[in-house]
Amino acid sequence: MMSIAVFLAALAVQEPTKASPGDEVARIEQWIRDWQPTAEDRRFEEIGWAKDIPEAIRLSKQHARPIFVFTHKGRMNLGRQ
Amino acid sequence: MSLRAGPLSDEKVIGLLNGCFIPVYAPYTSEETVGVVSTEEEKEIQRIWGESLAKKLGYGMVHVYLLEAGSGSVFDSMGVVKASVTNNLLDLLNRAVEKYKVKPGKPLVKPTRQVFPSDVPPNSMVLHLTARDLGRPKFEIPTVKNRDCNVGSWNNFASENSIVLEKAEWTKLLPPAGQKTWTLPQEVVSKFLVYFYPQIEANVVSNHRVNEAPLKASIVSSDKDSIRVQLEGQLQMKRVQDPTAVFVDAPLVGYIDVDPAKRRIRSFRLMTESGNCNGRKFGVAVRSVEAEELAGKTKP
Repeated sequence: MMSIAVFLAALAVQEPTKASPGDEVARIEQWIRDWQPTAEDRRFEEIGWAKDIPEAIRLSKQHARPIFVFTHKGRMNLGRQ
Repeated sequence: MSLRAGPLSDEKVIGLLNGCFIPVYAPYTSEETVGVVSTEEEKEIQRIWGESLAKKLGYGMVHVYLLEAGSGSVFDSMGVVKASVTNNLLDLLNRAVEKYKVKPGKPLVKPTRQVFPSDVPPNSMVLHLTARDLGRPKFEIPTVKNRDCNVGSWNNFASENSIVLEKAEWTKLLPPAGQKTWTLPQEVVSKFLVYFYPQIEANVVSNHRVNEAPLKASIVSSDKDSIRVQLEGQLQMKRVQDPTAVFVDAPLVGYIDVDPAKRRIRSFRLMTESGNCNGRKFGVAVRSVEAEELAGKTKP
C-alpha cells in the first residue's frame, strides 16, 4: 500500500511530457487557423470600396452615381486606431 | 469604428452602398496615419469638410458625407454617432437614392481584402497579423440585427496588419551557415512585433519599442528538402512616452519552414496565446501570405 502511494506521489510531481516539435507545429498551425478574422469580422469587405476620393469622383462622373464618403481617424480597414 | 461594426456590417446598408453609390472611406492625417494619406486625398477631405460647413450641412472629422454624382459637391451629411444607428444611415442613403433617382446596379469596384497593400515590391514576403482580446474570440452578429440603436463597437472585431518584408529583410531570418541556434535580428523582428497589441484607442505604433533579442531560433529538423526552425521568445514592449513601463508582455512561439536549395522561406508562423497589455489579455497570430491570396484568388 505504501509503495503504491509513493509511486502515485512520484507521478504527481513529474513534469508534464514536453510536446514533440511535430506536435507543437501542428498545435501552432491549428491555433493560427482558428485565430483568423471571421466572415463577420470582415463584413465591411463585402462593400466595393473605391481606392480614394479622387478615384470615387472619377467613377462617379463615368457612372452618374452619388458618392458615400466616411472620413475618420485611424485605420478602419485594419481595425486599428 | 462603431460604424464598421454596425451599419457597415449590415446587409441592407452593404446592398445600398454597392448598388447605388461609390463608397469610399477616408482616414484623415493624424499621428496614427502618418505616411498613409496622400496629399491629393487630404486636399479632398479638407475640401469636403469646408464645403459641408459652408453649406450648413453639418460637419465633423469622423462623419459621413454624400457627394453629388459628377461634380463631387457635398449635398448631405451625418455625424458618426447618429450614422452608427443603422436605420439613420439607411434613411440618409434612401433619401439620396430617391432625390437623384439612382437606378440600382452592380458594385463599380470589386469588393476585395482591405488589409493587404496594393503594391508589394518583388521578392517580398508579406506577413498577415490578427490580434484580438482573449475571451472575445469571435465577432458574432445576431441573425436579426437591431437597426434602431447602436449595436457595434470598435473592439468587436479583430485587428489586422500586413507587414511587408523585402528580400534583404526576410533573408536575415534564414539559418546562418553552421549555426543550430541563433537570435533573430532585432531590426527585422521589430517590424512585426510592434503590432503585438490588442485594439486600443489613441495609440501610435511608431512609439513602440521592442526589447532586446526577443526571439530565439533553433533548428529542430533538417534534410536536403527542408529545414524546420523553432521560434521561442518573450516580448516586452515599451512606449517612448513612458519608457519605464512595460506596455505589452507576451510569450512567443512559432516556426519557420525553409527551402534549403532555394534559400527561401516556405512558411512563417508566430503567435502569442497569452499576451498582456496593461491588464488586458490578448492573442496574436502571424502567418506568411501566399501570392495567390495576395492576388485575391484564395481565402486564408
